[in-house]
Amino acid sequence: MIDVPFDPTEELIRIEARITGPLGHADVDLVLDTGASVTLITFDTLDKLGYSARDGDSISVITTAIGRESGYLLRLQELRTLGHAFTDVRVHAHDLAETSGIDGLLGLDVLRHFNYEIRSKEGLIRVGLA
Amino acid sequence: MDTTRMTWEDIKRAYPDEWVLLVDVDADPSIPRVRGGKVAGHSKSRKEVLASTWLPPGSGWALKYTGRPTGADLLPGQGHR
Repeated sequence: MIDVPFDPTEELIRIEARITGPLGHADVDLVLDTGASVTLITFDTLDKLGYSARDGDSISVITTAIGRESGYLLRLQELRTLGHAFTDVRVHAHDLAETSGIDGLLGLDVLRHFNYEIRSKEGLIRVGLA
Repeated sequence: MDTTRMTWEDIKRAYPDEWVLLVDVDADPSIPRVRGGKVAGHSKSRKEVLASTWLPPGSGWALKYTGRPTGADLLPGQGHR
């Protein structure tokens, strides 16, 4: 069991993740989002890591209140977060607003692989190890 | 590029409400957790800081926002899903 801290005064639960790509690895901030079925990473960060739309295996669309945002699905070499590492993990490549202050969403496709307990008042995520 | 290695707390104070691109990152890779690094670029725009900073292939870096994230407008349009 490990405890991963987050700032409970922020609107969102911001956690850190390491993404590995053809050109290196990057530590970025994601929002823990149990309402997202698939993890999402921004185009810009994926581009900088050497991924491109050519690596995508299908087009994806996210429906918003005002329309539909297009992106694509691709497989990351590795995604490391909350003390766990995942290889060949499929994510949405999409844009996020500059003002969001985050680089992606950590969705249930990753979260379902381990147990976790969000202790909101304490600002802790208690994560079970595999 | 600022060649001084700084702690994350110092970086937040020096570049408030900006995106910072860090190299020579001091991080615990197991969780992971960034503790600091050298500021290779900074901007109010995520796209700009990524586009304007050259990184050698094979390098490790970190992209962080020093302000507080907001859920009001996650996607480029309004609303989340």
